[in-house]
Amino acid sequence: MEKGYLSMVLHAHLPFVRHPEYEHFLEEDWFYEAITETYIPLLNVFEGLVHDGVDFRITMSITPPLAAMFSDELLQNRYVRHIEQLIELSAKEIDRTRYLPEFHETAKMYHQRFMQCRYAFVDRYHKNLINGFKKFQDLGKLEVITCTATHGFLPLMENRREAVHAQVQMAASDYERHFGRGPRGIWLAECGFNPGDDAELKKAGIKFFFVDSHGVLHGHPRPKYGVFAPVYTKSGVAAFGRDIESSKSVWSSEEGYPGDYRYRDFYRDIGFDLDMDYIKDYIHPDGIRKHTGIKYFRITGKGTDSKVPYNHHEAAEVAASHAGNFLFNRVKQVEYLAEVMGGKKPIIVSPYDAELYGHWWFEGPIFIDFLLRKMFYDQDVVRTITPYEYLLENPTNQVVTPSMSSWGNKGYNEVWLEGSNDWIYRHLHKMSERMTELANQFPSSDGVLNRALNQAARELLLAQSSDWAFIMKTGTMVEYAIRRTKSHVNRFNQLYDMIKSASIDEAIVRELESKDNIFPGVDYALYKTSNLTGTL
Amino acid sequence: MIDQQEDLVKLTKHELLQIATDLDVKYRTRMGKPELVGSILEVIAQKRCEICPESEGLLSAQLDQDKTETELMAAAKEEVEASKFSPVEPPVIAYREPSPVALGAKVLEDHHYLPEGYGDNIIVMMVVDPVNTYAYWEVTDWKRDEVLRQADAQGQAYDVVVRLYDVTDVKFNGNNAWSTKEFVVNFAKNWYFPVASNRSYCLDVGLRLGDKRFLLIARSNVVSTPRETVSDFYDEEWMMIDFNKNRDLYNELYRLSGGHVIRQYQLNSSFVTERGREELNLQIPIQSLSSETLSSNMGQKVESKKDFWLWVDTELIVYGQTKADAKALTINGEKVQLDKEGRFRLHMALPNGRFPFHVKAVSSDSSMSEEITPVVNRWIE
Repeated sequence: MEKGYLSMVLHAHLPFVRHPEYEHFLEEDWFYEAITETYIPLLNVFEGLVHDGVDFRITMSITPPLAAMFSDELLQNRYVRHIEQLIELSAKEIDRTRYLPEFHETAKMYHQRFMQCRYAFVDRYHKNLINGFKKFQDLGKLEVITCTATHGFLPLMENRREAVHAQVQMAASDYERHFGRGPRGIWLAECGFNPGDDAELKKAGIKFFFVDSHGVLHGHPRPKYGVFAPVYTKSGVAAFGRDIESSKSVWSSEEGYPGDYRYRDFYRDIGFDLDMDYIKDYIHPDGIRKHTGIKYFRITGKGTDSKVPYNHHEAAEVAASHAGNFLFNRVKQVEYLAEVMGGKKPIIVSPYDAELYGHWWFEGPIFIDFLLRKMFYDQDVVRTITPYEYLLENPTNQVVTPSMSSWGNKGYNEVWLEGSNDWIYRHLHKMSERMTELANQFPSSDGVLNRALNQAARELLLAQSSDWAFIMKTGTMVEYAIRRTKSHVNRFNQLYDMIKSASIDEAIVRELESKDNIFPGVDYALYKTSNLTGTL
Repeated sequence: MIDQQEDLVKLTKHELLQIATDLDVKYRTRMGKPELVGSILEVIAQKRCEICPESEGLLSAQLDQDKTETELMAAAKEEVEASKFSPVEPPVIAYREPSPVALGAKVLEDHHYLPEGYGDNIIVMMVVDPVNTYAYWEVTDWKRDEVLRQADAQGQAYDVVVRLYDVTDVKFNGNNAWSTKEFVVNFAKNWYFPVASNRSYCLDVGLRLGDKRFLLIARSNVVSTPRETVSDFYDEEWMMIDFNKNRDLYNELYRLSGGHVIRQYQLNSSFVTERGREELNLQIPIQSLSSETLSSNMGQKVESKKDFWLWVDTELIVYGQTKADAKALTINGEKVQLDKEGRFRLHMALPNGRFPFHVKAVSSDSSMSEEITPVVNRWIE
């Protein structure tokens, strides 16, 4: 009989990036890379576990923009094109490294991987990876939860309750469209929790969410069990707090597993290293170098240029030993906690960005595979569980109001509200105000007016994606993020002006509909003020 | 939370009553102001004394996590999350041609300008972290001129100022803030204001005239900063949400309403009789379908009052595939939708009985057809 539980949560998210007007669009690559390096490898791990009869539980959030991209035919076909290119490139690599034994093994590995990716994507999951995730959810191994509609960061929407309502409701209805039932849980974007937002979660039928450790620890009153049991907000929605111990061993750049020198290095990619003539067909057609996903070097030392080749067999062994170490620590942790907590079984909540596993930490999915197997076969102190199952088994919990918090750097809102990005909120709030004004003004509508109103809602939702503010702060693709924000604001304002002046240009609406086509079923009525006072 | 006597006495009776309600002070409605102050202080002192040893240990252990380590970890996490949006510039190892600005950045035509303002007179406040807030505002020329005129102060020199008010636990009327600070902002459109944690604030934007008068233009929303430390309230309240019972009831009603079932299969009544009749006669107000809560105060655990029970049900999935361009696929004569690749899938309840599924697919030109008939029996032993 287990003494406690481990709940791993993988948060899978990418902002909605889809540019049909261009054959090759650099930022779409984020999606294709994540499929190849994270989502398909994780699905493969689940397939293997089920096939071998290993019982496991894991939770994943699939954000609505990501789900929309999974289901989009254009992006699906572009992915097939992308993976076929990689298959071709990796075949050439096998040839190129024929007399370079230190790289040849690795080249063969990539080729095999890419072929398997294509098979899984096209044949097994019929080009829509949601089929894969749904399969494991239906089998009872995976709990898929949702996230705010466009990964909107709720604490910075405090003054616009209708916007909060819409982000949550849209998420729930979009989830239902893909998975056939309402979501039981939600991953608030960046774990951004603002006391009071739980009332909106309750309205959407959501039963639990996650907050960073200090969200629970600084809650009011003091949580008796710290983060090792969920707490109920006054509205009855459960909050699970992140465990710092288990997070540290993975996230920490100094002592975390992914930093081990035998693992594959993220930065040294042939897209940057090889000769332009050879590589030019596989990077951007304009000659812009980018990651291909084919990397041959170990981490070795940070910032050095020593070229120690990667050995994937050795790396797998290291992943196995790290998994063993992680498990050992969790067993000790649970044994200690179970004693301290008297009768109550502790739950250790370990959330991560899904893209950490595979995309950043190449061997991550292997680590998860070993971890779940070792957990199943080698011990019986800790068992994996989903948050909902924990609540079913332990329905009595303390009532605590979690504190405003996020899992961003410094723990609050600073990442999304500072010098580089504070200018956007004047516009986002105004858009929300105008959207509510329109929704209140037109309780019903049809034809072009209806289409324009719904498209305005889409522009607002897309502008609210917290990724833009995040990118502006962390400085990766800042130009793109700024232009996305500005263009959504301008598109919204254009629609607003047309609607208010009752002269809607259908051609413009149609163009925007085809470019920003997320949430086909969006209903602008979500923004009506009357929604806020409605009871369950 | 206001907890000092000298602060409490400054509040109105209404405000004291609010606090007393939050703290659940007994007989509060019969008390005058001084009694309210006294009782509030008593209750606060009491709550602080109820220390639970195990949770003390747990909490202090968690809080002892090295702060710098947590920050390092957060920074590392940020790097990983940022890597989703690669390409990140790698260290220069091999020579690379200089890369032009990412094509992506160029393509969004409508990205050039954003409006400077929207013609509103507003000020909006936002929380950054426990000790910092941010605000943006807009003041139109006509509004500024209007307030100057109303105050008979056209032509006077003035500064545009923002006033920061600590309005913790008070209903702000312009004069009853705990403290006020003024900032001369003039042409600025936004600002970061340092504050204290676990307090509430709001802002006024207006004009400070040469003759010292302040002319209000707009007042902001009220924001509350989060706590920086663990709460010193140990008071425990517990809630039980019986997910099991409600899932059970919800499913039962859904089933009875015909959910899960494709048109032709009526719910087999013999299935229903297997459940206790009494269960089905329960009055269930619609609101509580999603959760039923029992809550208790002051540290008492709620005893679970369940009787022992069990329910079991079965569901069936019938699925398969035919050629994508098939004319029709029917199950027992009813047409079934095919997806783009010719797949179909039916998920339905499986009550007692014998159910043949006569599946027939007809080709696009009607010349060929295929039939398969699986039969499923369900009964209860």
